[in-house]
Amino acid sequence: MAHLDIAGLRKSHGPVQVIAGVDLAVGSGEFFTLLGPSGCGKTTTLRCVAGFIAPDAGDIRVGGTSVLAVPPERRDFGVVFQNYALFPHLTVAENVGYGLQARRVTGEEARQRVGEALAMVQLFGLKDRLPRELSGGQQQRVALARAIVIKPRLLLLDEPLANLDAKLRHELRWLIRDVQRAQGITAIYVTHDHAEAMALSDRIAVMRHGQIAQVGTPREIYQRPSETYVASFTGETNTLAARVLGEVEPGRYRVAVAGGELIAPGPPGLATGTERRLLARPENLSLSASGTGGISVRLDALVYVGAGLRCEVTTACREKLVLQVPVQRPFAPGDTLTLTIDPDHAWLMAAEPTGEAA
Amino acid sequence: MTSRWRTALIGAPVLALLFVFFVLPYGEMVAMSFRAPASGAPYGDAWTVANYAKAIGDPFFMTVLLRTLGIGVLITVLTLVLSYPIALHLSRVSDRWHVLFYAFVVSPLLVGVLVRNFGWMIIVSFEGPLNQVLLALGLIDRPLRLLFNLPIVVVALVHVFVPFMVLPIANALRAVEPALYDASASLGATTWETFRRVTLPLGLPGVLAGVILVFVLSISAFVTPVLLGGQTIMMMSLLVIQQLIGVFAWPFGAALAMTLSIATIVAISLMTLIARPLMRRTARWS
Repeated sequence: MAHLDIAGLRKSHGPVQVIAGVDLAVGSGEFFTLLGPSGCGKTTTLRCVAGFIAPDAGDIRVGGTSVLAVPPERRDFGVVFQNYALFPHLTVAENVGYGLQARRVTGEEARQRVGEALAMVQLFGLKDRLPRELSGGQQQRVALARAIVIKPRLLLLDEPLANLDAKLRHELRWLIRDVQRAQGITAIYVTHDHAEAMALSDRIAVMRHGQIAQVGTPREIYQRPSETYVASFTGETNTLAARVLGEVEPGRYRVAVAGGELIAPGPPGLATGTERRLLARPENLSLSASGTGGISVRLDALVYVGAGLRCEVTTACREKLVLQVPVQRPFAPGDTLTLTIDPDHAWLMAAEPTGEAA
Repeated sequence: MTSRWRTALIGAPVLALLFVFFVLPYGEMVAMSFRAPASGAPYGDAWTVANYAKAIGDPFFMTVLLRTLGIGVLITVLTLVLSYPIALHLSRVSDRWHVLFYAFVVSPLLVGVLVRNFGWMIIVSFEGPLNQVLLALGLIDRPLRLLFNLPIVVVALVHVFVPFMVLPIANALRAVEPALYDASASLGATTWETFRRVTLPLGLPGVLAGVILVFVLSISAFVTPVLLGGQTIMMMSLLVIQQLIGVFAWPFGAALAMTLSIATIVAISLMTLIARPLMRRTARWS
């Protein structure tokens, strides 16, 4: 039995279907991320789980029991908000102890637990400061401590790092993960940042227009995306039109691509003649001076990006791809080169998004 | 250098206005309170503190001062109790109803003080609508004498001071980040607990502003206590007017007015001092 079960969740805001049927199962202690752009319904889903919004239909079960009829103050979930939501008139220690006071935990026990929580987020020395005297990163740590000190059943994080600069985001990312692992709390994390999602999560649900496009581990999502939307959301993507010529082994197909043939992995059961998109991530492509094998391409543009040269190439069928090569390569725009695709890391995706078109 | 001169120049007209119409007359009043009385003239040539001695020493005048302050406290407390729920609602009402509700709250101020008080006199008079309704409902068998006593004065003043209390409180409450209510609930606080630990403290600057405003307005009220209370409610403002215009004792009248001013300043300072620890916590800037 999953720790958190969401079944058939629906929510409309006027004429707009914000959540259009979401089903999820999250295991105990798992770090589960809802990933998607603004407006995809991920925050609304989180707020339904927290109890701030009542869904129109569907059920939310924790440990087997439905929480829909339970008001937020009795659900026993810790919530970390994007803009910290620290009580401005309370000190750091009072903020962290807020939930304990609501649970009638006072005196020495409360002081001790607050101290431990603050030590966990490395903020003990600031316990008597007011929130406005802290930096954004410090405030978010306080918010995290406040959410975990109550030993919640679930930890819900709504884009907690979105308001911080890049360097802080990296630092706090690991802190969140470490704290979550150390406490063993099941966590639901909402973000639009795919790098963050991939670094932190045990599993990711990529959302679009109120529905889940794909659920999987970071590796599965990145290497075996179900559709172009998921692929492009999780990283740089190149896709080429591919037609299935036959199945060589279960899960591996011979496909006709860009005027040549390759053997690439794909989901089971693809029939011969099916049109698919071949996913080739830039890191699985290489470029060499014209030779045998590979696909003949023309180099359109070459940009120095420090770590290498970013190349844009076009195939004979007028499909464009992007990849990066080491800076020493003696290429110039206009050259005809050979593009090699690492077939083991390619993937055959659906030709169009499964479900409604974007 | 030039820009600083320019800023000073922009402020100059307002400062001049303030000086001529506020500082000068006020200074004149302070000076007058130290003058000796004279017959046939506003004041004599000598300087004296006898006016203050009489204002503070004579039990009659002290009683009036204390009664005025007491009525001020009563009106302020009643206004606060009535206004807080209204302010709470105003701070939460959706944009669609907001303007309408706002208009309701401000409505007592839309009518001038004289017309409003005559309105009250008509409503609560012997033959007036209030008595008629009560008689018709059978709640009383003889019309009530509701005019020319303290309750009607208090009711009328509370009615007109509610907007002054509601608006600062509503503004303070609206500035509270909505996520804080979600945060409080998620941490396990009940609705009442959230109100007590989050809403109330964060609204306090607005409450303080409203309380000070309404207190000052109540103890300096003149038209309403005179019209609706007749001469039976002796408040400080009436006493000062009597001295200045009735008895033509300008120095003493000025001393009485200054006494009221000082009492007010002391009261406000006390209130501000008591609220300071919490105000420091809820300040929005360091």
